[in-house]
Amino acid sequence: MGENELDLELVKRVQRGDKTAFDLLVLKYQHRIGAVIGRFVHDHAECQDIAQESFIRAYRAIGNFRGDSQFYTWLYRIAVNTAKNHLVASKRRPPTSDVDAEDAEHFAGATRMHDNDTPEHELLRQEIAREVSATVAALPAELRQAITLREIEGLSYEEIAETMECPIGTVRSRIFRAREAIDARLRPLMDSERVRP
Amino acid sequence: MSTPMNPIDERLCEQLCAYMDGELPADEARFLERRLANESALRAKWERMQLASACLKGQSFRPMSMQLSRRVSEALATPAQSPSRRWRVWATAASIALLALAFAPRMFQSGSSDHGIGQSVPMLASQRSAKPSPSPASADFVAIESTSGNVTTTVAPQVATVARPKPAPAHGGTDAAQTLASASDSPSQFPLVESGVSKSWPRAELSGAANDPSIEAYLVRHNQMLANDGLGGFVPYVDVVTNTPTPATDAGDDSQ
Repeated sequence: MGENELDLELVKRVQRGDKTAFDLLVLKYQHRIGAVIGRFVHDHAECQDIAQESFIRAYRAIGNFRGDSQFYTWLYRIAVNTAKNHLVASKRRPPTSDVDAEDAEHFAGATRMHDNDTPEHELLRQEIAREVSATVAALPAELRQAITLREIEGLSYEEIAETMECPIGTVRSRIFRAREAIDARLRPLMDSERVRP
Repeated sequence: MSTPMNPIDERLCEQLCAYMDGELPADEARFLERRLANESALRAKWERMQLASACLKGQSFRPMSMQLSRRVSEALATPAQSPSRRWRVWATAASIALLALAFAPRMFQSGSSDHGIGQSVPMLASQRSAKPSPSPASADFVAIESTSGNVTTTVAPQVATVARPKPAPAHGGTDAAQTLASASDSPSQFPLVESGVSKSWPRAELSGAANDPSIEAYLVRHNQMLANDGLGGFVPYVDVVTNTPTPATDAGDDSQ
């Protein structure tokens, strides 16, 4: 079961009425959805409100999600429409052109697509990115290779085990240790109400 | 998350890591999902791992409030109707109101007569011709009962009230003439339709309508019913203007 299959599994649980599963989807995608909405709305508080509204709409419409597309692509469209509706409702003009979810993720200069963020949030975003990169760069070679094959190449544990010529259990352990190292650096940034209002 | 962090079992963290990649066996996944539902620290770790993953993949992100997921959960816990559902509720209510408006007059009229609603049964026009003519229950039943109790003319309504049946006239034309003669001059007793006289189209003549005694009789009854229940005027009017006066030999048969 890959990442998309996990999303589908969570969606099925939500469709059965499990709100905890939806909470996991919110926690997973809130920062990416925030970036999507940030292209339409400058104010951070407004951005938070639209993100909240987007997730609520997604929850109420999730019964119609059949898994024909990726969950994030579906959520992305809801967020874009919610942001546009918000602009229209507040008598502001939404942009006429649009960017697909897949294109937006890999758009050249994607990090510059939300220049309108506040300096504090932009600083936090840059700091997170810098900490993650620095931590991965400092990892032992086998951990770095394992996490890179997983996150960037998108290989399964079995494929990584074949590539690295080691048992799957070892791959699982290496990826976990790499993530633990990153998490140790992220936690002070993410758990601070002062830095992350 | 805003709740204080608790130390998490390392094995649990490793399971969370594998779960995030969809590589955790189903039984372990079910166990972990239960822990995730109850441990905010574990959910916070899930969030950080997902953010790190997005960062490593080069996906754009914007750090959102720690309160966002809690606010979403609280909003979802509040029972709120979606606009479409609200629209459906209003549409259903409007339909019920419309049906009530359409059928209430007949119910009230049946109830206002000396036979109850429960005694009223729908009857087709073809059945009416074979059965005894019903007694008029209200003005939408424009059968005229003279003061002597003789039933003379029946202009068939859409739904008949089979109660207090009385024998139908053998030849409505002759009886109609007698009824017209015996009816008092009061507009409320004047026959609305002369069943023995077949009108050509338009059935309700516009010219000279002010002088038509049947129109006047109808209006008097219409106003009386409106004064009684406030609803009874509409449908009887439809009956009057749409029913075709039938020949006297076939009185009560609504062939249209």
